[in-house]
Amino acid sequence: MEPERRWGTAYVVVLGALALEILLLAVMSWSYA
Amino acid sequence: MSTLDWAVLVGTIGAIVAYGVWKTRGAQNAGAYLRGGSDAKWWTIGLSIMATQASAITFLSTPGQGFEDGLGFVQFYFGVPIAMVVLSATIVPIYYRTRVLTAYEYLEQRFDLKTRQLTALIFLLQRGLGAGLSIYAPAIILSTVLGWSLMWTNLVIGVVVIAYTVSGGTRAVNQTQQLQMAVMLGGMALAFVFIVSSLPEAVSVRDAFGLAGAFGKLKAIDFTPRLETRYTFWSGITGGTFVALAYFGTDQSQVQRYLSGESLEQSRWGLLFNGLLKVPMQLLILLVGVFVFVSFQFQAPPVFFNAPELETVRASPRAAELSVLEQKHQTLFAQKRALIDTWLAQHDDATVTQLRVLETEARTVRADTRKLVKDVSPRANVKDADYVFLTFVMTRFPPGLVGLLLAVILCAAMSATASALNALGTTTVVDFYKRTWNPKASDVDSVRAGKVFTVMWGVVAMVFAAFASQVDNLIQAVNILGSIFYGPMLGVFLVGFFFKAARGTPVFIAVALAQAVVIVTWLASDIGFLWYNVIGCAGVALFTAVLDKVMPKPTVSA
Repeated sequence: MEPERRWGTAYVVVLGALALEILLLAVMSWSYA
Repeated sequence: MSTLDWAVLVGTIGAIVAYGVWKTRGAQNAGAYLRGGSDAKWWTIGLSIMATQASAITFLSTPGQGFEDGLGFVQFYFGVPIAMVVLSATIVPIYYRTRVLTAYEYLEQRFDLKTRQLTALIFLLQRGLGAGLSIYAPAIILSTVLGWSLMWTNLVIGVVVIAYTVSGGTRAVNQTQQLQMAVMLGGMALAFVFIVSSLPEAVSVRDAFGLAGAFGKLKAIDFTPRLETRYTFWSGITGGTFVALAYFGTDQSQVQRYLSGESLEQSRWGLLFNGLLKVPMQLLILLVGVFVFVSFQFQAPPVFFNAPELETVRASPRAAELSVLEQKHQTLFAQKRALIDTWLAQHDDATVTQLRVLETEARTVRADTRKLVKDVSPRANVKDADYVFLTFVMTRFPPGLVGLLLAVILCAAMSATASALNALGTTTVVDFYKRTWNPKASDVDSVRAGKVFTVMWGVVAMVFAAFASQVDNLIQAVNILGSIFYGPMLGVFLVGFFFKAARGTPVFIAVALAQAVVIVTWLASDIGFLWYNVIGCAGVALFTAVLDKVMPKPTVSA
């Protein structure tokens, strides 16, 4: 994979993990409200 | 504390320090001493970055916040992964290209010497105080709960950190932080498992979560757009990103960690590693606090967690008032306990509603107790949330695990302080000593100066720790202190990176003006402190844009 594309993928993985964590925490907050 | 605990504690700390000193033995040149030899791999960088941020306050105050307010504090860390991506893509390549030793060195290349030295000075002041707090904060709590002497605790933490930081420089800090981080993560994971497994047999993990939720402790996300609420999704994602950009991008104690990387690629992976692990790690620490709360629903907690202050009230003429409050607290505990049994059998909403009413009453009793303690001893630290976790560890954990948890707290204190002293020493040498005071300094002179300044900053930190008066909530005090300075600091770097036409003098004045605006906002408004970062950063950009237009441009002679 080209370096720029590889870094792009890495950034998407990190931000995607954050989005998933926020989603899970939001669902937890909502379900225990 | 048992002999086994002492053996675990002293053995863990001693082994880590000995490893760091052994790995960095022998003479070092200035490059190796200040930059760590530029051979760190991504995992060393990542763990070192995490260990630098994870101070003892993280492991004492954060579970206390989880106990008191639930998971909401995790929102503060949402900005970290975003900042890691932004830094990896923009600022880190610039640092590598310009081959700087400190972040502030870049500002001279971009603007001028005065801007470099102003930002370096702001860093020295802020981080110098921060280093003092990172020793003082655990020392005051350890001395209160364990009966250790505050002065000796300060002294031992300070002297051990100074010894290995001075002897091995940046490399010793990086090497010891890997092991310290492993102890911290392993210790907290074990603590979590122990707390969950020590709940009564009738309470499943699912029930424990259900109970925590019933008491409102699992509300991790708050989408309410209120500026006054300290931790919301919005303040975390904006203010949290700004504070993380400023901290990881411009604070030398962090910049020095990733500039010691073997290559740009290794530094980027190290930052992204931190971006992936930060939120789960903070969540784990907060969950430990939440489960301590759940555990205290089955075995009565004290009405107030700072035991020596409680004893002062007991010995005062107002002891009877304390007895009444303790009696009320006990009665409420028994009522809650009965309702919890009902809830465990029925899982119904009506019981949850009653539990919440009783919990509100219990909080009122605790607030009244705090007020009583304050009345009797006006100088007492009544924010007892910082004492919750350590009290739990000392009274409920088995021998051996107590020593390990104390090692976690001391490892955290040492790792954060070591990075700070290392960066303070390096900045003083690179941005002042070699640049202005002794430009002809040889390699040997620079290493010697690095060691002298590291010791000097260590002594400053220990003196500050010895005389620091009790501050409100320790972790918030450090974060607020950071936020006051970080906004303008980030602003000047962003202007440097992205405003190609910006000149030195307008930027210099803009930083001073933006700093003044932040201080006025702090003193005169109720705005949540995370927003100071946004205000300070935007202030620098705005003032620079205006001043650049207003101030006369230098004439170029033919």
